[in-house]
Amino acid sequence: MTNENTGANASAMPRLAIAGRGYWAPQVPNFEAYFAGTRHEEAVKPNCSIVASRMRRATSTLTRMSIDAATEAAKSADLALDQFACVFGSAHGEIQIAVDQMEMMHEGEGQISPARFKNSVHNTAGGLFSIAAKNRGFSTAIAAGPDTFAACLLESALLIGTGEETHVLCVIGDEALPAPIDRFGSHTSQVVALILASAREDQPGFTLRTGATALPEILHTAEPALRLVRALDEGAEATLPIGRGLSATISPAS
Amino acid sequence: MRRPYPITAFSLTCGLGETTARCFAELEAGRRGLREVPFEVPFSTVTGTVPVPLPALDASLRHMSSRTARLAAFGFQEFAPAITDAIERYGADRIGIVMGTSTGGIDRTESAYAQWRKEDRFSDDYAYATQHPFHGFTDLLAALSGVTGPRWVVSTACSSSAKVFASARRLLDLGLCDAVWVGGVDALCNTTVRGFHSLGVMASEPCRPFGKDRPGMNVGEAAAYVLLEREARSEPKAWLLGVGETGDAYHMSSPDPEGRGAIAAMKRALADGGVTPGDVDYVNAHGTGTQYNDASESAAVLGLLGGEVPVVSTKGYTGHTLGACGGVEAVLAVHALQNGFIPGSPWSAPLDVDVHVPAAAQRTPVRHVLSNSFAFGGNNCSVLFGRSDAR
Repeated sequence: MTNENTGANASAMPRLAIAGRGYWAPQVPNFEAYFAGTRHEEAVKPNCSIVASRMRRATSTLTRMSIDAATEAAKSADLALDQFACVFGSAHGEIQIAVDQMEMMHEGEGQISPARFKNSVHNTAGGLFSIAAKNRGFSTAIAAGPDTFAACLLESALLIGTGEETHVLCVIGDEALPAPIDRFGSHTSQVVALILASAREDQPGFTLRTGATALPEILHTAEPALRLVRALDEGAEATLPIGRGLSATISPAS
Repeated sequence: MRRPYPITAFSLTCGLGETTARCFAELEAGRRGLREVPFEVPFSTVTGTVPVPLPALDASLRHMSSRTARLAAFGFQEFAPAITDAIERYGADRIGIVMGTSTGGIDRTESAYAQWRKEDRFSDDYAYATQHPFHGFTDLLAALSGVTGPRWVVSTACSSSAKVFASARRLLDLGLCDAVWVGGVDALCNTTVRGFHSLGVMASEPCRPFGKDRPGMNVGEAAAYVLLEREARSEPKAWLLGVGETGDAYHMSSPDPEGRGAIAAMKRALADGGVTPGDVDYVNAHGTGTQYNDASESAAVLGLLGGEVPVVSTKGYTGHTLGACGGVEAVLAVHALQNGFIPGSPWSAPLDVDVHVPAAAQRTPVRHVLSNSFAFGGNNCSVLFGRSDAR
């Protein structure tokens, strides 16, 4: 027996707005550049300057770019770095460090680097961000494959809908797969960071709904987040598929 | 106070035993589930290894196979009736799956990488996209059970499968699910066993949490499942009363020595449940057995709850099951509530801490259990469980 899930109690889901946004990719190191379509000729590295240099060592591109995008999002929302909950999401996680460690297992005595290991967990970016930001609040790290943004967005909406939080930073992205496993996926490094909050009536917003939804192929973990930003910027009524079983109903400012 | 939710089913597979009943019997007999590492490592240690071989997945599911996936499927055999029953009552799309893990299927990539290094090729049956990812075993659980509601993995290292209780509560609070299947699955792999050894916190012998001159931790593996429902049809096994989630903002791999984040997490869990510190009958400690964790946690527990309440780390029995430990210890907390049983910790004497770590097991009424899980990144989660008559 299965029910047609129409999003029971959907009225309890909050109408949300994006209060701040950040972006990072190797040739596009902020959201302004992303929307302007401008690219650096050469790839630059995320500087991750809010993290002390001794802690930045042995961190991955994923962690550094996630922290840079998070910092940009907070700044654009005019929020101090300790004033929001944090939801970090990535499908592949710290894959560069994971592969580095596998190589170390086959070298010398097979020991792996403690500096790399402590930065190998899925919540490395969230942990380092919380330390740099002195943010002692809620922080999580989520994975759900191609539906990772959907899961992160849902958890963020639930945090606001239950009244636990007023502002949630939602950071979503992945770094490119390292050799030799790059043969299994060709995505590039890219991260989007959004500050989510309850929408005012005079701004465009979205409400999440569960239930069956037609899904386009998700080519990058961050892609549905970019689609959501674009749809909100357009501000027209629309239903946007976010991931398996989750869509966002966009509503314009009233 | 937050709305409590009934726990209506649970199961456990870990170093203590392959079934829940065996795990409880071993725990009550005071026997540890620590034994040899199931693969070669260049140092001595023991691990909480599941004591039976993990069966292969059906041929149609081999593209999802890893040790974590096989452990998840093995643990599901015992839990399946509860999910079948929930699907009957609510529908498959009204049930969520939120699981904790720290490794996903990384053990499969370790073996595939070793082969690539030797032969310059990956084997034909290696499927990165479905075997490696963190969430792979939840896709497997969905395929095995038929559950189609929201599902994701929380991976905040050692607090992962404690935090899933908070995620589930939110899904239930806002009516997106009628039941949420939570828990944690982590299998032994080289990355974690060698990784904790690299940090200098791995014991070569069985661990002695809170003991003087404690040698460090042992890694373990487990599949632990719990079903939370919006309403219980009959008397629940126990109640989820509260969850506190905080950050230390202190250090990536060491806890705040003053335990401020841990205290804040425990306080929030108690406030959720409307329970005072004096109402806590038993603390299932994070208690990894490392110098820093045990010192920090005991300071936090002593500061908030005093020195009378029994504090036990069941990692002395199971090893540290990492992303699964919150789920494992939730099941052991429910066992304590249902049976009035607090495990002993004889290996911890003489103690190095001022909290009360009982050497002998106790039979005593247990109405509230606080279960702590603290992780890399200073990620803290404390979960409050109540006996069936606590609400």
